[in-house]
Amino acid sequence: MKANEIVRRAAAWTLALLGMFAVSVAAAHWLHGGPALVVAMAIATTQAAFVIIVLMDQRRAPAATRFAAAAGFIWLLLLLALTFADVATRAPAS
Amino acid sequence: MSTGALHEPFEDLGRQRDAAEFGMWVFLASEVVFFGAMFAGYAVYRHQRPEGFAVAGQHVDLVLGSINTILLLTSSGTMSVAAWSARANLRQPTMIALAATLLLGLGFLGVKALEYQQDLHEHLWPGDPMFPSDLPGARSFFAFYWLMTSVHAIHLSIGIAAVSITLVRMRLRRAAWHRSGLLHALALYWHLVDVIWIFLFPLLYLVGRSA
Repeated sequence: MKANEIVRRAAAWTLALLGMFAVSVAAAHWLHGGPALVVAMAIATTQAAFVIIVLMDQRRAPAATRFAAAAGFIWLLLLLALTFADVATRAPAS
Repeated sequence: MSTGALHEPFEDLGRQRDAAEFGMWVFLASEVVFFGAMFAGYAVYRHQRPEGFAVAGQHVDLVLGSINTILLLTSSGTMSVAAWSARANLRQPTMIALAATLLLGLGFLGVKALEYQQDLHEHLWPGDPMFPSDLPGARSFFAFYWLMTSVHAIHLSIGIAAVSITLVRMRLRRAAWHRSGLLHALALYWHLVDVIWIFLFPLLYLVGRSA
């Protein structure tokens, strides 16, 4: 790949990320409460997916590497699930 | 002054590159869980004290946070240019892109320092007697703000140091930069620091903005 093709490709993805950032800021001023959080996290997750799949080259990665990456996020989901399960099942303070 | 790309115990550069990438991802997976614990704590407290978090979130400087987000997202772009140029065996574009990444990272830290100074001036420290809100959860929000942004800044500083060292070694022609997977591993770390900020920004800077 030539240098100008590389720069063009990186610039396109960067502009996409910046565009999503702008939408995120705008949405925070229009939406209230729960929907605001859901939209913000959905945009952040999309941005993260772009970075991980494209910029971190997960599309080209060997299976073992993809497994290591997936393991990190699976353990994160376990952490969050168990934390919220703990909080949700606590009896109210007397 | 060896710039040999192949190191023991690897038989060929392909396996060495795969090992570098795999090893970095195992480390990044641990970083995801490390930051995840802080995000989990934030989520619990925000769920329990939404009003305090919303009121406290309005005191965070959205302009400076936005500038930092733009700097960091752009730095991911320049770091990608560096990694892809290295793969294509383009030395000068790799070095220029690394230098740009370094400058953007330093810019982030500079803006962060300015923001911290401003925050302290406004008494936005959880233990400050002149903290601007007595709502339950407001001080907790700022406890998470200071903890999570400072830990992120430390990680970014490590990335900046690694980029600087790589740039100097490339300049001195002492780095096996285009065959060993070095730039790719460096880029993986940098992008993860960006991913962390991608989630930090809405949770710390976009709370309570519609109030």
